[in-house]
Amino acid sequence: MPPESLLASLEAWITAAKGERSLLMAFCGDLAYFERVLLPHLQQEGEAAVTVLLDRSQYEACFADLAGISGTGLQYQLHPVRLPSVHAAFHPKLYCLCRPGVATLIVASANLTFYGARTNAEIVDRLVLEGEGKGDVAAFQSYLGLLELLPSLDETLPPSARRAIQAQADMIRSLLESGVPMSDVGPLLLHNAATPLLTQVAAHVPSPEIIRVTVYSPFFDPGSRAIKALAATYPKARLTIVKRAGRIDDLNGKALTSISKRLDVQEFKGIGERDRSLHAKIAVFESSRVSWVLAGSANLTSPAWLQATRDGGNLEAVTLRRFSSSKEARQLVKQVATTPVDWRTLTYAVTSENITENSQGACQILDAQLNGSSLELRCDARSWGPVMPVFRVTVEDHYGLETFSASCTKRSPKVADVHADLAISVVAARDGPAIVQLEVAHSATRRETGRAWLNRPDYLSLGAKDRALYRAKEALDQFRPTSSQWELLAEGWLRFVDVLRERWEPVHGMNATTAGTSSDDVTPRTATGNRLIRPDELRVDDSAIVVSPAGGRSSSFNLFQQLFASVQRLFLDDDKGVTLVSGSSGRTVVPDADESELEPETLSEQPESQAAPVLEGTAVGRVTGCLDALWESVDSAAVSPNRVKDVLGVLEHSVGSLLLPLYFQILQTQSSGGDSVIESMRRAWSSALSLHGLAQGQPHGWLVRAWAQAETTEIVDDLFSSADRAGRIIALLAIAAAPDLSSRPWSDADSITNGLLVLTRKVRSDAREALADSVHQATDRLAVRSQGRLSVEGLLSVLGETNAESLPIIKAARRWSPVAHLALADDGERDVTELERTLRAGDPGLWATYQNVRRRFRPAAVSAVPVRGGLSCGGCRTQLSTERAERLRRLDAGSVNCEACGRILLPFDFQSEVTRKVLEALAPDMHFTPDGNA
Amino acid sequence: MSLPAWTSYEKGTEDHQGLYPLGLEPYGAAIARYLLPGITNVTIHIRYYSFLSWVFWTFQAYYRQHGSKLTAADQKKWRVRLENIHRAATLSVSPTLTGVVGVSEVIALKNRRDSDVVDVGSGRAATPFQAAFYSASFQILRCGLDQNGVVGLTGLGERLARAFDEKLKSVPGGSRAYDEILSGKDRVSVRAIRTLAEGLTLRAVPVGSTEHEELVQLLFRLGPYAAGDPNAVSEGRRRRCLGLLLDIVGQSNGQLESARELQEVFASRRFQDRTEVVVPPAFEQEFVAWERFQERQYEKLGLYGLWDETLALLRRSSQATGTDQIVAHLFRVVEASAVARRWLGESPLSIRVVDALARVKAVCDRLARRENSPIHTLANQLLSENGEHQVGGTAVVLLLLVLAQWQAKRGGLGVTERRIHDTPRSRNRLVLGWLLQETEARSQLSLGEYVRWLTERCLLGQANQIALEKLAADQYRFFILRDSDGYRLIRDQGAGAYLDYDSRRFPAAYRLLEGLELVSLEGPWRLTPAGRKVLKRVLAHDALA
Repeated sequence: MPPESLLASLEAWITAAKGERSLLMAFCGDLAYFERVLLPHLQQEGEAAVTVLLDRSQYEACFADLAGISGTGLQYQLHPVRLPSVHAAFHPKLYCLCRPGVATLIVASANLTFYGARTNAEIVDRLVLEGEGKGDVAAFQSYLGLLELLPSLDETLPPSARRAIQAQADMIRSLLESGVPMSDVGPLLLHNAATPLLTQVAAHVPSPEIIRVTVYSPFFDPGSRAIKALAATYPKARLTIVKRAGRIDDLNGKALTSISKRLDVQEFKGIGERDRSLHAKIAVFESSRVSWVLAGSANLTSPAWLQATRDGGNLEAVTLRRFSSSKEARQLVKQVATTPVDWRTLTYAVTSENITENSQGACQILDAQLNGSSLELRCDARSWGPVMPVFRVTVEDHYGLETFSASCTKRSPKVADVHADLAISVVAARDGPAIVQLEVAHSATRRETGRAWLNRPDYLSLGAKDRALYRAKEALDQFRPTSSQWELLAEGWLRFVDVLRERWEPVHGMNATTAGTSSDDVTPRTATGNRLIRPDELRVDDSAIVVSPAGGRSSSFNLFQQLFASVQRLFLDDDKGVTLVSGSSGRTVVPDADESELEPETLSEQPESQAAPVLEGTAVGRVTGCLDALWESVDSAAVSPNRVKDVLGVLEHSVGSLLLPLYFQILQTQSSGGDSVIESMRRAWSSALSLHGLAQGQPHGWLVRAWAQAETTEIVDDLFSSADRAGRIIALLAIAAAPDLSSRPWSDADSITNGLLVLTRKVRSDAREALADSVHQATDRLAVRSQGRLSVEGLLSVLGETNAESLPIIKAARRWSPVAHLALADDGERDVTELERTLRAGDPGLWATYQNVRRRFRPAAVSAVPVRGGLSCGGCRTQLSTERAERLRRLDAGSVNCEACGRILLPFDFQSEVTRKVLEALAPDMHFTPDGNA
Repeated sequence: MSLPAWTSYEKGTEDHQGLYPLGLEPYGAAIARYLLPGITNVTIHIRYYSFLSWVFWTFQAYYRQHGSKLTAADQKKWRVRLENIHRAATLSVSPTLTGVVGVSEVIALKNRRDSDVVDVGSGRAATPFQAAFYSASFQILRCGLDQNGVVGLTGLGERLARAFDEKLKSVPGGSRAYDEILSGKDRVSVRAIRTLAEGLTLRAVPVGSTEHEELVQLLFRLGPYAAGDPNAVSEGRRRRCLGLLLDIVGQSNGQLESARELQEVFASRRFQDRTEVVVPPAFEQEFVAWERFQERQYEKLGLYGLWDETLALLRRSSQATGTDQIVAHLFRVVEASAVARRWLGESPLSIRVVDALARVKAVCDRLARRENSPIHTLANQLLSENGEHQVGGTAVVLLLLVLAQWQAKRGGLGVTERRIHDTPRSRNRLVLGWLLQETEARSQLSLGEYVRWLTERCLLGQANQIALEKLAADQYRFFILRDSDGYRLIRDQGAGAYLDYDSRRFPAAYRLLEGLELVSLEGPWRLTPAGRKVLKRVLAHDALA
């Protein structure tokens, strides 16, 4: 058994690279395996852009994977590569994973399959390039060269694939220091795009010195040409070939008699373990002093070693490393158990993996994209006659298949664009992977068909975070819970927010969740740690046990666990050490014996086509009660930078992911409780956005407070700078404000919509159009989700009424600002003539009062100051009567004077930064300074 | 400079005990569970419920004496002791009784003297109180609840325990033995166990006893439910389903002797003598659900028939096999199938799917004039071929027939009756409604093209998908795998191994009913007078509801 350090896991290497832009080239791939095991690690952060290139024949073999995949064409783009020779294979295994400042290139013999990653005996090599040209520069220069050549090797590569290759080339280029010369220092990356591999190897590995060559190869060419050529290149070397075990028909022994004296053939028996199939391709060259190791994709075949891709060969990629002694290379080889075979008896009968069949005569789709509802196919039209054929397009996804007629435009004699409109199709509205089949009927007897994976640029462009959010939303959209499930959801949500809140607090010694758990568990224990039984545990109430409608453990329980874990991941970073919460219930739902075989889909759940269950009003009340409790806790939380994102997230998900679907279900099933859901939404908005209390410098809305405080303004602005997000929130707010959705008027609506206006006003002018679009789209989606019960126009009309000038607080601010300015500036030294004139012209009565008070006090007008729940005069500090305080709070039209000193009391604290900032945001022409200088 | 590395081998990736390559079984099991919650294949002895209740009830008394220091481990120890005594007693009374949990470690009393003392503290024997046997069922039937290892009893559990205790205490001369086995000591005399054996043993519960009535309540829940009780739905379904099983036996006039005949009843609504089953309106929904279960079995058999053929090819092949080769093999098998030619004509693969559906339906209608259920006959034929012959042709016909029948039937059914098949979210279990929809979408394709699609989507793609789902839970369950040169066989269970029905649960339900003397399963099945009374109560209860 070799030491662990000499073995590597391809999966672990790919995971560790933390790629944000990845280009994966392989001969073949198992998409279901790739999506489940590897892809998640490539889309954790940043752009999450993944492109997979496969040999054309293997690309087609992947069509069988449709059932088990969800991301092809949506989370990553997949394209076939067609090399100049139809018999050549696109065969490199190059997995390049880039993130800012680092590129990792894994050069392997393993394909993107389960076998490749976990079972076969494969070889892997890892090259790294860091900023300023540090790392394996020469190898990356070669890789860059390959990227630049690749589009010319396959002229049919679609623009999206070319862009992905180009983008990665740009990243590599930016990491390479300009002017670093190619040298033999460090590992080399060899590919045969333009020059045969053997030619390159001979240039780097001097022939006269080599005394031994050992090659591991699972496949050979029919005439053993590559073996003979290698032997000829290294005439002094003893040649050992290690082949797969148990096969006598995969190597032409007869062809090798000319080198019989220095040839030795062995069978691969494993690397200390049992029964592994050799798929690695390795060549070890040894001289008396030094050694070289070549590892990668190239089998010892003619198309791999003796031909350049341009001349009809495969495309291969290998690393070549030079070692200062034979010891290192021997280390690689000595791990392997082999047994000698009599190569003279071997014959060649099987088809090499490298000889691929071209689907001659079939229609070749070069690219398939869905843009909106427009399906665009680019096809190879070389075999078409002068008469335009008839086209039929079939799109197959998880849910079924649909057929469309199509039109065609011929771009050139070689290429044609086929177009179909999917506007009335449900396929376009769904978001799963899809296979497009194009049928080209040239005549009654001549028909071609071709298939391709559909790529959807709108989904492919999503970054890591947006993708995760989108998935969570989709999952929630499809979920139609029962009353008790809604309660479970709300409870689970509350528990989750509890975890968030704990995260806000300083953590001492242990993470917040652990601390919470241990404090909950107060059951006494014996000295040995066994939990003592409490008397009440030996009897249970019959109602404590719930048998799910499906007869076993409620599948929703599992679903909730997944759901909350997913939602939680959107908020929490993996390494924060916070344990994920799960849904909980006051009752125990018991498992069935074969529960382990249960799937989330059970008979208890509503089929998609069926109406959602009617909800009980009491359950709805409990759900909203949970959320109200949540907002009470948010109200009392102080503003701090690490809470802003969480509070916005909680707002969005409470309204968008819980209350809104609940409301839709109530509408759809005509259940009771709709008003209380709208009230709960309003409560949420109030806690987040209300301007109440602004006059005194303490707006009720948490996010408004956060925006108005200097240390958090930028964070809030940043969160609202996304037109998509802002548009979504605005549309959600429209639901709560829509007058026909609740029997109760919303007196606070203006205050809250203007609170949101404050937060979105920073949206850049160039993004205003995008915001408007986003609002329209979000409103449109809401109307669709409500199944016609909400109208886009109705929702937009609510938003259209947003007018800060109509707000009482703005009106009052405009009335009081002249006297406030005057009072603050009137210090006996400055010239306030202009300010006096303004006040006199605008409000003669107030001017008269001002003059009267001014004779006794300077400043004559002061702000009322909040004290212990009441207000006091900002001049003499006497507490105001309840009646006067209330008049000030109501922003009454008349003036209010202090009962003790007679000063004019301003209902605004114009000296509060919060008040000034928010007022200026709402009415940009108003401007205040703390000293009264207008 | 570092070396390239060999890849590590994931241990245990090829030896696995997976059973279900296409993952179709859980759906059938879910239907059975939906109808008979709490009853599994192995829950065949009704008296385990009263015995286990008695175990936890007697622990309550023990706790009252030693409470402050007792832990969950003490309760478990208490249970293990009494299980050992119970197992020994049961097998001393009925040495050949099946379904007794832990028999391999039973304390044999046969050659022991009364004065011998045996150790009953050992935990080596398998316990009936585990999810695979009775613990989940114990809780779903609401005898009690296991919370963090401590089992508490419900009111019904306590009543069952008292009834069991009453019976035990009534054993003549058993008082000392009773005290001895409840002493909590690990060493108990053989005499004590023998004395109480009749009271402890697993056996039919006499009609008219308190224990009988409580056990009838346990299964049938004939009492009223409080408004909003979440268990009313599932327990009501179980009651009606058990009522239906009683009713079918009552109507069968001695024509049922095994589960197999009952399956034919669910397939045809007729008994073997072609008399029609009259399903009371109260049980109609449950009967319909069993019909769907049966249709699901035919669909599953058809798919596994094709799977079996695929494996036959991979088994023979020394190298990996591509999709095209697999499809070509299936084509050859179907073309060569006498069944396929009989049902579909001489060139079965060249006809359109829509015509194939029409043909199998027409042939079936013709055959139905002579036999109860041609589809059941076809399924039996496939099952009997069981690895001896190529079954691919029969499988394709069976699949087409179940699709054609469902196509004809579904239009006349309501949403509830269709629901079991029309569950789009269960398409990953290849539910019949989904398969019909996909088939109809391909109605203009040739049957050959359709078989290609079936192979890619429902066999190769499905097997991979299911294995990868398991992989997410760190379970290696690959049966075939695709690499660069095609598919390879990873785990082979032998020809015909996959051709079987899903677990049905109704045979176990009948055993429970037999344990209450509601049916007699010796020879032709009969409804007893007690069974007739319970059936009447169920009908009255549900007619009222």
